[in-house]
Amino acid sequence: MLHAGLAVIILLILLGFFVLKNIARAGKGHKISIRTIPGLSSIDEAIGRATEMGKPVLFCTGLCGVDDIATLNALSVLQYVAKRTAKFGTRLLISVANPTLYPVVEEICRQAYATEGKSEEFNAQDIRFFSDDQFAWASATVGLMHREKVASNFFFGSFAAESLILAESGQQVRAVQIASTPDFGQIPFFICTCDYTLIGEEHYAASAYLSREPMLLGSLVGQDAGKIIILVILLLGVISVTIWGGKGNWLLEFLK
Amino acid sequence: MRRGIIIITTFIGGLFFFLEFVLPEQWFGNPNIFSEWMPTVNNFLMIVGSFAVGIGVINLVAVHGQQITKKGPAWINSAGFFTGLILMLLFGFGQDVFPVFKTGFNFLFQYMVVPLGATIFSLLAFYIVSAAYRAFKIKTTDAMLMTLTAFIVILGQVPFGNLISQSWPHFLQFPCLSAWIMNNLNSAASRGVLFGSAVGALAISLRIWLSLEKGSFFEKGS
Repeated sequence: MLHAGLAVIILLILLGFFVLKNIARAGKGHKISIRTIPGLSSIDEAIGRATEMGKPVLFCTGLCGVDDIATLNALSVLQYVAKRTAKFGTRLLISVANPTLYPVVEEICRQAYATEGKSEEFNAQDIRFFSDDQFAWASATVGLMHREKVASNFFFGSFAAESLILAESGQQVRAVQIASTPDFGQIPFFICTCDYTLIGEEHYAASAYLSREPMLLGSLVGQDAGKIIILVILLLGVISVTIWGGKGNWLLEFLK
Repeated sequence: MRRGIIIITTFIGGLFFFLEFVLPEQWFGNPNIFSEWMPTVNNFLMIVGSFAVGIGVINLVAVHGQQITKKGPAWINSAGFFTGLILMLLFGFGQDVFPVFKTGFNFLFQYMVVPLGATIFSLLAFYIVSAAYRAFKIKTTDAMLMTLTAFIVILGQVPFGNLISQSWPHFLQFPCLSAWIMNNLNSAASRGVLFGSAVGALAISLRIWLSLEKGSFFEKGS
């Protein structure tokens, strides 16, 4: 089992402190503004396009299950998308690759439709579990895109080699595509094939950005403080290695 | 009531994993009690997860069953699904009782499931070409820089690049330039993204652990 060293514990406490401090600040009514993220601002536009065309929207939650933090964040976006599609009466198709995720996704959509007062329009069969095998799921999702002629695709979560297969197939059906993943290896594929791609930390900012909850926006400010701490540690590491070298460097030993 | 149960369960679950990670392996001469409980907790999570596998199969059976009973447009595909499901179940469970079924199971897996997966994977080669064609259209200065960089990296990875540049000064040879781009420019960018992602993941983990995250189970009034 992996256990944290002293440096990791201190870093965790510092990051946690800044995140919670800014959440508390926002809770007290301190106004927080964040930069525009085009990919997230375009979600409404993509749903609107599908509504105008009378075609469905497809949401893919990636390969992982509920134990994956990127997937959990994707569920927040799914909730937003489900509310919007329920409001506009647009059909929402969801492709799920992990059986543990399926009941959670169903519950989220059911609640979203209920919140909009459209419980009767919720169709559980539009949430599709195809397979937990990577390429079987990808091929089934591609088939769904072509059969249903989706107007908009949302790829949010953890993806692997199937990312390009999905996004390129979306291009073939001329769908507006928005992708978001923290997996660095898949980002170039999504950038090449999607209209909007959220990179790295933008993926984790989605729920705060969409909900505009002051407390969640506060945590984004806390994240920035965390990045400044990491930057300071990096600079200290570079300076210490430049002066004292790598061997026997107490700072490097402490940070390990 | 429901919200309260979820909040408490989430907090206790998160606290267990947090303490297991933060506390050292040896705690005042005693082993970390949370690490000792880890296999049990993991088994519990696997058992809960295995229930969900059944839910996935139920969804498949419901969707494809409806396609067949209503004679939907793709009912033949649904019939294929049931054929595959029944055969795999039959050969999978039957191989312990009838050894001959093991051959059937291996045949289905090695000669059907594996090649089908490989076929889909091989499509990537064609998709990469069509995606690259769109991405490398030189319309702006940025696109030109990206195309030039890609050109150098590609030539650095293939023997042809080495062949045409081997008489050039070492630092201008394609493999050397390619390695420099990958180790310096690409690594710097990827680590920057990685740091941002790590901090973002930590913040969202904290929000979920303390039930501050706005999600399906934390809607007001639920």
